Amino acid sequence: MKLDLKKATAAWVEQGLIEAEQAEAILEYERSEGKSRWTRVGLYGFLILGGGVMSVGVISLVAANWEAIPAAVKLAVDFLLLAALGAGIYWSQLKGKTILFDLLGTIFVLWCLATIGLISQVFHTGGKLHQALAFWLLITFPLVTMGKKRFLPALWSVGAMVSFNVWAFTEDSWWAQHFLADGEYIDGDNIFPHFMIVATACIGLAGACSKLPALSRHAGNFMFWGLCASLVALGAGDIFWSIQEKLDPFTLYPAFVLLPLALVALAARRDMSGAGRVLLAMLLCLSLLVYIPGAMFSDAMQSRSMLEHKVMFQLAGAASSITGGLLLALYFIVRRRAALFHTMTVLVALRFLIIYFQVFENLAYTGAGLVAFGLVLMGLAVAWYRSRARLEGLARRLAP
Amino acid sequence: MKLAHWRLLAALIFPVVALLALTGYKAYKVHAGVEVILPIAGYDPRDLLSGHYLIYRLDLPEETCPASEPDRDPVYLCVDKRSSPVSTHVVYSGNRTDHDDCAAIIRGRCEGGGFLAGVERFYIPEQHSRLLDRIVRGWGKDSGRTKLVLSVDLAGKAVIKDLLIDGKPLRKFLAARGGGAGPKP
Repeated sequence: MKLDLKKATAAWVEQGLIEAEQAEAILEYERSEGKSRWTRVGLYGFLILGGGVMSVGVISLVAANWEAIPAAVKLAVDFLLLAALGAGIYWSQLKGKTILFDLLGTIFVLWCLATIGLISQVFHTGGKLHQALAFWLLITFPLVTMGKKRFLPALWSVGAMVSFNVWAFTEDSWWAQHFLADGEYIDGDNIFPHFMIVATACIGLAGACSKLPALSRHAGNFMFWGLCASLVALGAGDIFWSIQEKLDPFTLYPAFVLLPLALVALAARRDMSGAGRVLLAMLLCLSLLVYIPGAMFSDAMQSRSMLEHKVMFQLAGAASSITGGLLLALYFIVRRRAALFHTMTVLVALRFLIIYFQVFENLAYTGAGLVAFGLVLMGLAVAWYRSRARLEGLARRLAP
Repeated sequence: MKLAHWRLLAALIFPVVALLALTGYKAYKVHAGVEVILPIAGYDPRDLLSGHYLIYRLDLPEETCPASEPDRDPVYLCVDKRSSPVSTHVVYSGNRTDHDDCAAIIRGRCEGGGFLAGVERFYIPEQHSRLLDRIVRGWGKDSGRTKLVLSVDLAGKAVIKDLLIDGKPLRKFLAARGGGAGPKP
């Protein structure tokens, strides 16, 4: 709950809970603390940004492959600098310098990536980007768990997302190996299930990380990526219906395996409200269920007689993404994230607008349809507001 | 020393040791195998982590991997002993004792009418990428100028030792040109 301290202290003085001098002292303390906290946040952010940009510069310098420097010298200098950075991190830990620890940690972690690039260059290895990233994630993981603030875990989770997303669209991916034609790496068979898998895996990982103190900072990052992937998965599900894409049901297997694990991880999250957990669980189930009819009856749905009912499929796609969007919007209300809630409502409104272009053929039908949808939505909002206490009670019973 | 400090030391040493081990393993593979030299032809793309590289295929006789046949994996390529210019032929096993006439047997696969052995990438200095791209494409007067020096271990795994242009290692070739990027003299 966010408190307006000025109003609150005035109310407390009025109620006789505190004296006017005490209220003034509280406000003065919060003003000075808030200022210095934000100064530290700014310093941390800009220092880390500078360190990150410098490290990307190092990767670029390595990539330029200067012929004047022999390979052995390049490697030796690289490892010496890496060791010096390591010593600096250790020193900053001994001296309790948390910002310096994270700054040097960021440079060290990115330097490891540059070193992998240098080794590839010197020995002309033919490895893939996702393999290099996976190796990098593995070797830097222990240090990342010791980061003092949020940046190192955030950087690591971005690396994990990039690595997995790159892998999913290469010849090495599970889908390319089993479902796609030779030489094809991107197709409906991996695009549609992919985001579903990212969403379930990330939300499941967030739950698992929240249980381990050393990984608690990763939980927020994975939840963020899980929510982003859910949003993309909803869009993908919508497109899947709208274009009546053919999908092999076996491509959804990993999602079917991950979904129960993600639901268990969600159920075990005592740091989240029951309503939040139920809404996310419903969102994940919807994201997967939306593919099932299309995958099971793919051939039948692509028959000529069914193609005549194109509008019906488009409406099914819109219904799934709008329902999912509303679930996410409700989740953001439960989490007290007003800006994200409003963003979701705008996205849902946009989807209604797209129906206008996609489905309806004349203005009269479109207008009538949108008026009806709008009334239903307002009715649902009023019904939810009036019965929210009962709904919260139900959510607590479902996810105590 | 506190436990947290030991843990931090371990977390710092682990990536350095892993990267050193990777370097050592790659260096060992380069120096431990049998050296063979094969002609190549290809072009130059770039990689975000490691910079510009040449991508090519070993320039082998068409019958090694006929385009009309389906892809095969594994395929064993025998590099004949005492052949000049170098000659190769496909054999049916990677066992060196079965093939006394082979200087080395490279394990690879046939894909799209080409033989791939995991050595189809050579990193080059950025400032010479255009020149090397032209040479390695092997069109017109550049035909047959580039060869690859490989080190092949007993299991048939090939790794790159060097790139030869006009018979000279790449560094020497570039040094002889004074770092310039002009046409071949």
